[in-house]
Amino acid sequence: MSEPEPGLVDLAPVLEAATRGDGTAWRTLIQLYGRRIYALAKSRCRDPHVAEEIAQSVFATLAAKVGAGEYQEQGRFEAWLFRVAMNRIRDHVRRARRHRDEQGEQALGSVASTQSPGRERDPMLEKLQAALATLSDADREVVELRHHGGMSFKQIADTLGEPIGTLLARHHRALKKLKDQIESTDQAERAGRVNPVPREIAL
Amino acid sequence: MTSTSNQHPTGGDAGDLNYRIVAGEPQLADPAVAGVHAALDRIVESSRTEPDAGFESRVLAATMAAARRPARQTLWFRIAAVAVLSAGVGTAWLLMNAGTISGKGLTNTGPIATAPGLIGDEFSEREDEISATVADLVLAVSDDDLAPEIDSLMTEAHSLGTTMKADWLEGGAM
Repeated sequence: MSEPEPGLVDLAPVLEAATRGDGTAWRTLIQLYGRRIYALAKSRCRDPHVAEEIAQSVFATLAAKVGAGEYQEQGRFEAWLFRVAMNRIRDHVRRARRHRDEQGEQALGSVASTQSPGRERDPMLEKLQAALATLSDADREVVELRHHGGMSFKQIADTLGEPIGTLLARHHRALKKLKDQIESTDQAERAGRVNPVPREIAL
Repeated sequence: MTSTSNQHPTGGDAGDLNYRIVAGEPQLADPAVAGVHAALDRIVESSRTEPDAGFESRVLAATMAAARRPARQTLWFRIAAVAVLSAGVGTAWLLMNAGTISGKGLTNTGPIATAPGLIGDEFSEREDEISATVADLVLAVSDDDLAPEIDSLMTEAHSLGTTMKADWLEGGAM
């Protein structure tokens, strides 16, 4: 399903209709943002089923809050939506870490290594995914909101409550870390020391 | 490293020469990390096309179910609120009577006759507080804060009876 461009849709009437429980309006919002939320959750959780659950949970939360009048349209819907999404993802990560601590690393591996069916493996992308897992939470959030969430830096600033300059510096630093990590993995592979970045590092 | 401008879209200084502003939005301008940037975009493209065609319908079903939930939740909240208040009243009444009995056993000289009145006043105040909290809950209910608020109310109801008993014993021993 092709995603409509958020910039081409006038959100205010859609949100107003969604407040009244209009199914068509909610479908529009889901078409606009559903797969972006999914991609964001998938990046962190690495499990397509969990990612879809999180996407459903985010929109269900939105519906409850919008229905209860907790959202007032001020042109910052995306920031609010992605804040809800990040909270859901953080909740999941916290639970997964607790579960890992209780069950040991084996449990995490079995969850984190879940692959999407029917997808061919791309070694470069796998290295990048593994390198992403080595970033700090703060660096990773900026990268994921920017790329997986498809947000502008202004929206990320609204979502995280941080200055744009800080976010730009963090984004660039994170990209450099990713590049360095991938290069060191490549060098290690070329040197015959097959010790790639662990594919499933902590969430 | 390339930079044509580092002006913040909102007028401030973005402070990072690795980005330039295009159509009001900072865009990466450092060729050293352009490859990683492009690879990230490939991952994202892959992720977004990953869910099957029924993805939107399933999310919509969950969303519409949640959109219809608040009315039902309010009803359950009212029921829960009545149950919590009733439990609070019942507990307080039982403790008050238990306190009366043990109070008489502990001391025969205290002004026992005044204690029920004190308890009644305090109980009314606390009952009003709990009622107000419940009213707030009914008006501003959401999935996320349901459980902690209910827990809080239950704790309140329990502490109500305990506090009143302690106060009554203290008053009875004067």
